[in-house]
Amino acid sequence: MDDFERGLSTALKSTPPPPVEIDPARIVRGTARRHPVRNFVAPVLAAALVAAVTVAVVLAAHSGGSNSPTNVPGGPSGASHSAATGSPARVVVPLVVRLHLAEARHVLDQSHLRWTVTRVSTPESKGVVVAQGPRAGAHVVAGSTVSLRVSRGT
Amino acid sequence: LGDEEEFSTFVRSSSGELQRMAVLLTGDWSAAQDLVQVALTKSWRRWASIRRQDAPEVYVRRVMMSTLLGWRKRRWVHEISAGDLPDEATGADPSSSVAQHEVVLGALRRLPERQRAVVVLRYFVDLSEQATAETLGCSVGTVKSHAFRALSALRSNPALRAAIIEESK
Repeated sequence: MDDFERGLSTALKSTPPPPVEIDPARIVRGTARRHPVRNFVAPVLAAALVAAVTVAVVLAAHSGGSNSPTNVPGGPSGASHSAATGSPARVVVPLVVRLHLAEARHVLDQSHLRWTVTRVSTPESKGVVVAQGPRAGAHVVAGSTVSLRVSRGT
Repeated sequence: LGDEEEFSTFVRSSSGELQRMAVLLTGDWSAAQDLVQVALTKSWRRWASIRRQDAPEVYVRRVMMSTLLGWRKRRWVHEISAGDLPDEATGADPSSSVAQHEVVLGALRRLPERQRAVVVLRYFVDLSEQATAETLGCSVGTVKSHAFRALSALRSNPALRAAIIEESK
């Protein structure tokens, strides 16, 4: 290493600290991974609730006649719905902009959110999510739909 | 959950460093924050397997680089390069660390992306050529040639030379 390289290294290392810290809670809550059903008292009730909601949504999606592909909510876990009260849980919308559609779907599924896709022409590579609504960090009812704008790649 | 706590601790202790690395790679703080946020989000989803390895930051750095290089086509990456050129920066007081930071960012911006990545990994993170190659997923030979070209370009940048010499005095 010569003087120039040492000077360069010193200069790079004197980069100031970032103006904004990253909040780990936003990442953790925003992209909740699969977790076991919390309500061990009534797992059967929870499963039945999920099944009923799934059927209802599938029927609704079929009768809706929309051209956009739409998923069915939730993973195998029913944890986002409180079986005891029947009131829907609220979730934080994760940041999915700049992810590929497949990744974005996975993240939203894990967060118990549904999604719709609109293809748009942008300079972004094909299949990348370029916009989302509601925005990341918003609190919504589990099972809500997030609309995604996905690049056509042209 | 133990995972969540451990991940949060990791983010709190390393995100400042990751963001400083990201600003050198992207050229501005908002893009840097986006990059680190996306890299950490991707890492959190694999946390269970990452935590079994010794150094999660090695994995996160790798995710960050692949995310960044995947963004190559993004407009903002290109948008940056045209703007502020070194004449203005040299006009400012070169001894101030803010001015030096601007000069360094300006010089890095005008390097091709992979050369810039090699410079940041070698001289900011202090990785070996071998570790740089592993982080970027390329060969050691490629790292060497990128480093050689990048250094030649940086050496011939008078504003950067001035800023660095000022620093070492």
